Amino acid sequence: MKSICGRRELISAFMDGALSGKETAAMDAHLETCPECRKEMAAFRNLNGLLRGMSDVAPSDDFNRGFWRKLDAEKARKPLWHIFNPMTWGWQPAAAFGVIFLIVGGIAFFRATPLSRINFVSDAAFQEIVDAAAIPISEDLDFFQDMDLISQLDFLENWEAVNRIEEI
Amino acid sequence: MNTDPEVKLMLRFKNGDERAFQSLFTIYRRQIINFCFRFCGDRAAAEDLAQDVFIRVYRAAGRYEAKARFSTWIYRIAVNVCLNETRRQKNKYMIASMDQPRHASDGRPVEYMDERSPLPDDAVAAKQRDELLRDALLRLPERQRVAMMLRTFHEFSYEEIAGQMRISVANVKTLIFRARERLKEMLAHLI
Repeated sequence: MKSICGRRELISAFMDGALSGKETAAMDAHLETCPECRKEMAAFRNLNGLLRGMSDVAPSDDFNRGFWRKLDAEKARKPLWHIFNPMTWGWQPAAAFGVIFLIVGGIAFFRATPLSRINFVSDAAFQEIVDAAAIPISEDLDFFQDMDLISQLDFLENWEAVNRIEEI
Repeated sequence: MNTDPEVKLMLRFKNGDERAFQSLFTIYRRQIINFCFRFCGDRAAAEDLAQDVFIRVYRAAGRYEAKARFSTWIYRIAVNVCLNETRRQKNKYMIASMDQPRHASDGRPVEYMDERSPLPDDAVAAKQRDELLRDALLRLPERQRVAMMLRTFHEFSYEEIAGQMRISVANVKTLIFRARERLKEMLAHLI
């Protein structure tokens, strides 16, 4: 079975001068003793010669005309943000926009302001409102203390505390 | 970079000199068309792609910076345009039938000057060989093809190719080596 030289992959870069000084010197020395790599390099050089010998194609008759037309269209095209920039509109539309903006903005401001919705009440009246909306609270505060204890107890470690709760 | 005349042209264009752009267009038009043609194999599509490249060059003038040779920069744009287009149209670029006419903007069929007159025998053989070579290039995976083209036809360094393709130098080495191996197999009868 034919063995493949381990340095074969470096031949391409060596040919293009893309190896370091040290690698290049090593490759130079290697090529003197490796017919496989020499053959590979000859094949790559022939390939390069073939490819570089390919003829060019010429631009079509329409290429220039087509390009300048595209470029004119490109120059005429304004970026989207231009539409929203009043500075590009001229003074009359910009002034009209400013006035409309002030009117609409003012209306929106006054409708949204909390000033129209504040009820000025005395302290006594405020307390009546609170009392009327108050949530009924259990008079048995001990029950709530017990519940608080239960919710935090680890039952396995605090039997004494649990036993203190008479209702359970 | 300061001594690159094309960089100077681009900087003049950046400062508003449109004739500088026209000069760059004239210098690079044929090269870019051929790069795109070797990439996609279709002349009409290649010209569309080449026009897009120059449109992008035009658009980019305002933010152009002379960090590299101008050729490195414009080919970076060409690589982007070609690879983006094939991403959009995955299977479109096959070997084109030369019998398919394309029409110019005024309705006349597009004419290619190099196809107008009959060729002598040796030129026919050369044309057939070119078609074989072009076919072989088109059979390479896109990234191998691009790296191979940039190295072989334009002699960019591996570092420049790495920048143009936004990959590492090690990747460039691998791509070019594999491209050469595959081309060597496909074109064994010619090498």
